[in-house]
Amino acid sequence: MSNNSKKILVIEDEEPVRKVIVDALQDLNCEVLEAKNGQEGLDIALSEHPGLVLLDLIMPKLAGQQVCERLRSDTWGKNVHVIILTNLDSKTEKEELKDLSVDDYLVKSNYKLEEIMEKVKKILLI
Amino acid sequence: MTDKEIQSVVDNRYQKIFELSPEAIILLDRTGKIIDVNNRLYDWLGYRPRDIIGRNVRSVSFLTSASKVMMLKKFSLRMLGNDVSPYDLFFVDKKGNEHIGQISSALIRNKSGKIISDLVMISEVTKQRQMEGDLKKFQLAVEGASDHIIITDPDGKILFANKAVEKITGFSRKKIIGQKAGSKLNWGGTMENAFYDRMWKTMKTKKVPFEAEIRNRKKNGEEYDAVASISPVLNKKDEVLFFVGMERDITKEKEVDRAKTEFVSLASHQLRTPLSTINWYSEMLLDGDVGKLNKGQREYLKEVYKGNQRMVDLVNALLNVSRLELGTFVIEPEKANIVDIAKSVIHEMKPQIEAEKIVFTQKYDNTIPDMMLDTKLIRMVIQNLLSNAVKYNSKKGKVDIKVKQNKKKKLVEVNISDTGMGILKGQQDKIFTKLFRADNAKERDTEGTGLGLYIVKSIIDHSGGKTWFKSEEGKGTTFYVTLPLKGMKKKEGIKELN
Repeated sequence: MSNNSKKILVIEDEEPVRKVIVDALQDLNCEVLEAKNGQEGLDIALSEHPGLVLLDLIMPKLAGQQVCERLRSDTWGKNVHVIILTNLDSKTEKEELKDLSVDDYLVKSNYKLEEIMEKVKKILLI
Repeated sequence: MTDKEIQSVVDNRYQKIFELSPEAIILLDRTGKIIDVNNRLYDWLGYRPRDIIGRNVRSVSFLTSASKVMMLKKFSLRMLGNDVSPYDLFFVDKKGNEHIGQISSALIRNKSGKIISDLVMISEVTKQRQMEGDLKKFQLAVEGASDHIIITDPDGKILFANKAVEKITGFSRKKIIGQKAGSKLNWGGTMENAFYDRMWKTMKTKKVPFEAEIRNRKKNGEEYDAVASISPVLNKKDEVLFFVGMERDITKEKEVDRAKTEFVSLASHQLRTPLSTINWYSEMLLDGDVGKLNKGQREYLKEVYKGNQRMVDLVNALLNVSRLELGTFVIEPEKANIVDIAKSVIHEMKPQIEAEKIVFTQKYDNTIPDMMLDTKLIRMVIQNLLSNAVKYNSKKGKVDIKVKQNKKKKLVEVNISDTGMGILKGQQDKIFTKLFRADNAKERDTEGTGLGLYIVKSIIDHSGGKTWFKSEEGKGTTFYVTLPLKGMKKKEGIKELN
């Protein structure tokens, strides 16, 4: 993994949700980047090359699915770790994203923040 | 034989025919007076010849008045030498029951050709007319039905199509009669070949009805969804005489279903977002992330967190129910061992079992082979039943789980019993009903959703298994769940249960 491995990008349009995730990540001593919609998230990802992207699905400007597709078509982005954090749980979306080899697909309301942080630590080996 | 003798034999012969005829025969003179009648009228309507000979048909009581009018009209036409084709009259027997007779008659003339009499023959056609009437009703019903109905020969060539076929498919009946039903020439050809192969195999080889959802194409190219049900009609030798195919256009229903599904999906997203916010912020607060909380603050916040957690569970349960009801949930069986699944659920529930100080026993048949199971769903079933057994138990009660197989019946059976409050007798029949909670359960635990057992039964029903229970008030309950040893039926769908 590159030296960007501890840089994490949170792409989430709901401000309170984004804030609490960012707070929890900062507790892990990670460098955290934020984006409030899909397009902004994609731009930041492609310029900043974070080690992990936490990605919401339903977002203005560019949906999470498309962000993921575009990342995967990029030479750097095709290998970046992605965790989907959403409240959608239809099988179609899940499978679509599994095909884009995301690391995990988590339904927000079914996970404690702590559990999500555990998954982050595992992926970033911290 | 002399001429006279011959004449006597001849006369006698006609007399015999008159008496033995299966039809009732009445001989009328020119005025309509009954000159003679055979015994059939007695057999049929209960009137003896002596009761009616000499009376005029105008005054007999074995004809309804309308029939009398009709008969006299026809009779006068006959007397003028006209031909009258056979016609029906309504008769009334001595008991007052109505019968239908078909009338045909022969004029008898004297040597100079003058009409002297009319020989009226009546054959009873009551049953025949009723059957014809029934047949007509069937015909009208089939013809006027709003569903597409066709009859084909054993090769699938269309012999009959009702009006709805034209209306739904847009093809004219004239054009499709003689074509193979559901071929590219008419409304078929949109499904994969394997589908049509399966369809014909089911009906022609197995000779059982075939039912499936099918996609058809109208004459104008537009596609539509239909539920097809095609049945072979067999003769006594088990040979196919013809096929009857019925299809119902379900395009609209499908649209409604899709709309409902989308609504549920959207609602779930909208409901969950604020729930996760509350969840995570209270979690952070409880962790002391923004400063240490005092004891009271901690306690209150824990209640907020717990209440919110209940809401999450409720949203998930409601979503599961809507998916079960819309039929949009998936069953994805994979090779797994039911004993392993049970053990892992028990492991997960250990804290709960220990907190209630439950005496827990378990017994497994370790020879149960791996089966095709949807692990997530089976976990949900066992978890629901176990948590009920723990929750509604008495203090320091017992919970027992058994997983065994019945090789004869090719089933695995999971029994979960408790020594708890039992299910009230008067409410046992409602226990699997959605949102229903027994009165004694409500008293014990105010937080249940009334969805757990409903979900359990729906999952097992969809998987080809059975769910039932035995319960005695104050003594305990045992729930039984069976699944076929060959495993769960795969079910396509778009949603998973949570």
